[in-house]
Amino acid sequence: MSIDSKTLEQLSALADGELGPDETRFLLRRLDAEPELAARWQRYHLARACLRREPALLPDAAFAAAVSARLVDQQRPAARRSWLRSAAGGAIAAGVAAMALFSIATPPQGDGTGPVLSSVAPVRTNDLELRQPVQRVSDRVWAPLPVSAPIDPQLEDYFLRHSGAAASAPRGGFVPYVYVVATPASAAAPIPLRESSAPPPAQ
Amino acid sequence: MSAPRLVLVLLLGIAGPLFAQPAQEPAALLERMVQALQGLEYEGTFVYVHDGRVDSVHVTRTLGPNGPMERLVTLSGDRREVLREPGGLRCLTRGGTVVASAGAQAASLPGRLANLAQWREHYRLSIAGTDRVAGYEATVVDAAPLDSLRYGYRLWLDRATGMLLASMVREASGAPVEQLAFTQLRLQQAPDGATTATPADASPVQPTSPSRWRAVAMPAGFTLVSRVPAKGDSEHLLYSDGLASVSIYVEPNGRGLVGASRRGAVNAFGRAADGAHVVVIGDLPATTVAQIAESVGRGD
Repeated sequence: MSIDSKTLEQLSALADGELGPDETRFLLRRLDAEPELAARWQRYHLARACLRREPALLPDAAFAAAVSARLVDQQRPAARRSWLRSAAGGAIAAGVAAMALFSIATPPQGDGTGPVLSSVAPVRTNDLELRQPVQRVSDRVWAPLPVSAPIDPQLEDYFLRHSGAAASAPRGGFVPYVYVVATPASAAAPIPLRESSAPPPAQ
Repeated sequence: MSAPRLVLVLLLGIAGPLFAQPAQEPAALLERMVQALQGLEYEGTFVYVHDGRVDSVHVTRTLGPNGPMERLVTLSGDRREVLREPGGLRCLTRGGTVVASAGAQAASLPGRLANLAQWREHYRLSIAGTDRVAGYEATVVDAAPLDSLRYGYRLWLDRATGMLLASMVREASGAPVEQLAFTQLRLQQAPDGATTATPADASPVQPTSPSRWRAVAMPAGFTLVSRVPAKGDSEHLLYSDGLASVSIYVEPNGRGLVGASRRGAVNAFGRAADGAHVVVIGDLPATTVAQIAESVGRGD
């Protein structure tokens, strides 16, 4: 059974708190009886939550409708003048706009519970691939663990002093110390240099 | 549609673009990263992928009236620890054995901050997208090198503070060299009275004469940012192009590394030159570091 446009408009008005008391009671009875209408009511709230960047928790259809009905009951009957009604709508609109401002400009709290909305192209997983393939687990099980390279105190000293000096450079902070503290798997092992295809550096 | 709802729709249509997150310049994001790395206190754990290994490291940074204190401890493999205090820098292994130590790092030269502007000249900056790292919403900034003499960087920056949450150092071809990513991180503002400058920064030791040593093949954009005091006639010159840093050590009677060595994205090359031993260390490709080392000589 499809939902007619008039019912949809009533649902929208109910969500906005603009449906009259009689129509609200009638629509609530229909929500109890018509699962399709109840599902549409839930999706309606989900869309609103997404638009407001709120956590998309689906409300129970009957509960949400009952809350809306209470709000309607607390309103005065439709005896207000139309200009007052428009002003109230404008105030609501401004409030929602302010909420939009708040939810967009407020930085996330970093607790991992908020929704993730990517605005630009997401970072591809392929970008995180290692240049050298990681050892397979089976190899690690049977092969002896790599022995750390012997420590060359003088080389360690050079690396440490470089990190200390670089910590005051723009990309400083803790970053320059990371390679010093990490296990020096190949620290003392000379590595082959490949021929440079780069143009001669300019002074 | 009723009048109030029409007003609502119109207002949202207008307000949305106005109040949306302002478009941020990648260069401005990098500036914020510098401020966050040096001006915030933080504590967390990150993974570091390098040389076919994955290490996990715990980092703590606090700021006091005498400057920053940093402590990095490995949580995997051999226990190693780097401790940076206002008075110096130490690298320790299991049992507290000091592997290496250095005195106060100092002698920042005027013009250090001018390097920030050089990013634009040697890297193409762009925003690669958005992501989430350690629970923080991140903006991903790419700094692609304009030549093959330096590495490129992909940086995950906290949208709220600019803090570096993850990074990937890449060859000019795009192949990753090393990666770092926080899995847990706690940030907080520095307490009142704290300073990010060490006592040495506050009263830098200015060299009394220019260095007699030159690196003819220093890539364009690298400028001298500090000259660290060293024993005797030894010299330690630090150059930076804004993102990468390279040290040149000159030891008149020194011996040590001959050839190349590497730690993650940091390469080293040593050789004898003009009666001294020269070691060059920097987060640059091995070929570039070797070229710089081969070109070091007396400039007089």
